[in-house]
Amino acid sequence: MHEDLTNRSDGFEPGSWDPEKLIAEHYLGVWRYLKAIGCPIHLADDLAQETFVAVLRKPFELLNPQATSSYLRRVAFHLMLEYKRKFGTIGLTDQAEILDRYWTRWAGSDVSGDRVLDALGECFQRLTARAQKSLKMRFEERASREQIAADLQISQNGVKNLQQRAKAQLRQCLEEKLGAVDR
Amino acid sequence: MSNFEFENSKRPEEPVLDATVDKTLDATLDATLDATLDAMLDGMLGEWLGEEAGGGQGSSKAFDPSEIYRSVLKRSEASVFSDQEHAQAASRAQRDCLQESSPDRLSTDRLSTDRLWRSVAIGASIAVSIAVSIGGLSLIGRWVPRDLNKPVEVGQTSLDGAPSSGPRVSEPRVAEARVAEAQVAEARVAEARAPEPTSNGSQEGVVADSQIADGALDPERRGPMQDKLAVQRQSEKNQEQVAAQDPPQGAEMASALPSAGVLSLGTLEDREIVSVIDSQFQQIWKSLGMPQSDMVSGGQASLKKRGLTADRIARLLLHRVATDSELEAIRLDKLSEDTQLERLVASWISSDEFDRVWSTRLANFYMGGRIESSQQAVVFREWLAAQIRDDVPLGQVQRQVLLGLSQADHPAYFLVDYWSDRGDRWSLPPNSPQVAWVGYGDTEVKRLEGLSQLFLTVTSNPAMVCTQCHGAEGASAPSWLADRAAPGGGLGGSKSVDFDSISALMVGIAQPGVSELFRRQQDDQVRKIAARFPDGKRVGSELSFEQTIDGWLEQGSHSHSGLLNALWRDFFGVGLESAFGFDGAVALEARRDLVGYLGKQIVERRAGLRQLVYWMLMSDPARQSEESLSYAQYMVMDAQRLEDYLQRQEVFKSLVLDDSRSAVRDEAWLVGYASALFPEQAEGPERSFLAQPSNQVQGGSKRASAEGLDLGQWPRGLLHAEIGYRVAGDRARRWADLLSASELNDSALIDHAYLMTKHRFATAREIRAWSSTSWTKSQRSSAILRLLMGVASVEL
Repeated sequence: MHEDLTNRSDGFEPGSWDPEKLIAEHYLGVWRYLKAIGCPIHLADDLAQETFVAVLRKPFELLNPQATSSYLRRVAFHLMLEYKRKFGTIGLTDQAEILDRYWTRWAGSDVSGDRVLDALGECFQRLTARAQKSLKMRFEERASREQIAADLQISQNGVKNLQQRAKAQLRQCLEEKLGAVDR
Repeated sequence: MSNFEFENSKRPEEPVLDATVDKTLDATLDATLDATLDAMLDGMLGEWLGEEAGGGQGSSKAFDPSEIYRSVLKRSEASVFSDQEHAQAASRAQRDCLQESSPDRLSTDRLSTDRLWRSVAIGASIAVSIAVSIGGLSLIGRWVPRDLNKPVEVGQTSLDGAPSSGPRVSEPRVAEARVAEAQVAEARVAEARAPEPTSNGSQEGVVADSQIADGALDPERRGPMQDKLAVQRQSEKNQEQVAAQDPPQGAEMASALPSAGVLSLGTLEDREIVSVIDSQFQQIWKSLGMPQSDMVSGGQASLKKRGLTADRIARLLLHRVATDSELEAIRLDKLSEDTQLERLVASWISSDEFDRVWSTRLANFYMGGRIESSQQAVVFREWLAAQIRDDVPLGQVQRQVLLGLSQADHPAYFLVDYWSDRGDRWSLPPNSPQVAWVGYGDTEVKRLEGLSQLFLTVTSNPAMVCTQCHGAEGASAPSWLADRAAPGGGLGGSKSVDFDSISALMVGIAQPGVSELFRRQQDDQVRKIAARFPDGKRVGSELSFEQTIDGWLEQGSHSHSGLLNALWRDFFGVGLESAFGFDGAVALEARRDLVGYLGKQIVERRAGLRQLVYWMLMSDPARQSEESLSYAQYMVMDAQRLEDYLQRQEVFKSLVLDDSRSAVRDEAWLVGYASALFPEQAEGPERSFLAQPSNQVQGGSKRASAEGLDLGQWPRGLLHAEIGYRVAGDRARRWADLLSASELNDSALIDHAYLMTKHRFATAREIRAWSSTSWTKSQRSSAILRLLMGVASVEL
């Protein structure tokens, strides 16, 4: 029976199953997806790895990268839900389903999620210099709001408003470039 | 120049809906969604701008496929999920994809069977591939599903050709056939997702889902967090209690209870609040010249980076160390350290033990720092535990406690009697000129004073009690009191609000049926005392007690400083700000600001106790290195190191662990404590204990020893008292000078020490204990300062 199976000629190629290659091609996309649906970094690390444990324990057919990516994301999504059921909701959003729709829409057929980050980079360049500086200080330099306020010579509330507006603009820009999602 | 047209505009309005309710709901949902998407964008910006460059393995700049592959292999040996859970996730994913597929997918039995066999064969090939790649067939058993370890069934053969002891493959099942079918369909329509899923999922998958939902899977690993946080815990008991406590217009109160939702900790809001706490402390530490590298900013740092260990988390949350079994369970988990710790936090912060521990702390606050074990006190603590468990906002708890004073069947009602009769001596002497309430005997005065004191404690105005003696109605408070006696502790209240006006407000509680309180003036005229709101306006006679309380809470709604300080002290060992300034001089304004900010967050975000504790746990002060410092170590420190230590202690940089909460604190204990603080020998200007014989330094005084104190156990709080004395701020020193310059006798000075630090009079045994020491032989202002710090540092 074993021989019968492996000698079929309808497209099955055991050799195409290379777990390391699968991970190399899809890990980053799964990790970014998990982050996008609200997982903290370390949990995204854990669940991305768990995703590959799950699919390697229960294999599937590798027909094309996009289908594989889509399937892996759904496995990761359900593992995240299972994690919430088991261990509580600390650090996890209740809006994962919506975020999933956004990420799926934005990432499109790009399995790694680079498309989204590239678009983000382009949108970032369209922000005002002050908004860019504010966000760079926050995310690059990890400056406190107080430091940013001092540097930009505005109040801390001003910094908050500036960043909120900037993010609203980034989101609109991303929706323009990558597609909007019906709420 | 921006390319955006709406640089300063908000996003376009949503279409106007006819129904107001729908509009409100939509606005709420939009706000929630916006916040969620903001968080998503934060994560993307973090990666793109490099915040996470050195972070997780999945970070784009740190991504190493080989390393990840090895991690996945390791994880397969000890996953946090069971095989069944992995299989369920995969099945659900397949079902999702199936639902999104077009209806004309292939579904013949033959095809299903073919796909099944492919699936099985693929599984086998993967197992072999992995086993080879890691250099041993022994790992096959870790990779292949447990199904494969079942005995070979009829018509099957072993995949690896091994006899019956090797990995086996089972008979194909219908579900797997459907799974294989789903994969085919998924491949065809992967990018053509239908907006609305169809409902043709696998029957078996549905059954399995409900098994999970019912908790059939791995029940032991389902932490209590699920019970507490994932399920609405507005218990029937609590609802009944609230219903019973409600006055006729209680619908209002019921509607103010927490909505039926899930408490999520670690949300964006929580992180924002933690960021503010961190920011304030960074400011404080910077002012002390502490290195930047020692700080973790932004509320974003992981628990691991924060330096929180399981043991420390247990101590902070549960006031105990982690048990062996808890540590063993952590060790067995193969999750990342951060995830382990987060799970621990989730588990402990939602446990019954947490509710119990913190209800005791909360009860302590409402009972003026005393431990009481009467049946009524137990019922009250249980009620508080229920409030914590149900995540009732702290502001609501405060309100219920105050309203409970007027409801005989409320658990908080026992506080009326408790505060009326909780000490050996409470009221001022009957003939005292300050006690001039018309028609009131000693018992009634005692009761009303106690209740007024309770009200001032709950509403964070303990210093107001001073106006009972200093600055009665019509006279202004002494200048040294003015800055602390204002209602609301900084709300800028009216001078006309004094202790008597509070007593007039509470008179109906002290004596049901009585609504007015009169004072006899010095000219022997009788004058009605007006109850007042914090802004000085009179409380109209037509207002009910509930309306009056609501008015007070409304005007001082952001003033939970008393409760906040008490909880902060319970958590960190040192309060943020004391009413009279016995908390040192370092960054006083920054700490005051923080108290104000946190009080506001408690109200505006309707935060419960668990949320507040979570903020404290995740803040930088919680991660600061601790120093276990014995008294002997403290005594031999050189001057510079001592100075450094005291500064760190002042701003929670370190916590003194010389603490035994199990110590029995009776009068003998207090005598030992007081004697150690005021040794009989003449004192030097600094660290006078150095002059003491070692047996006294290590174990308290000889007298304490003779009275049964354990020599190996240093009285709790003594080190705190000594440190507090050394780092006392200007304000505390001014208080000591003022008292020193007064003509108060020793007993009255001890009373004042308790009034200013504990907001109550000293009991007879406390006066006896302090009087038995040599404190009066020291230089007066120094002795009074030490007395103040000593009293502040000890709780009986």
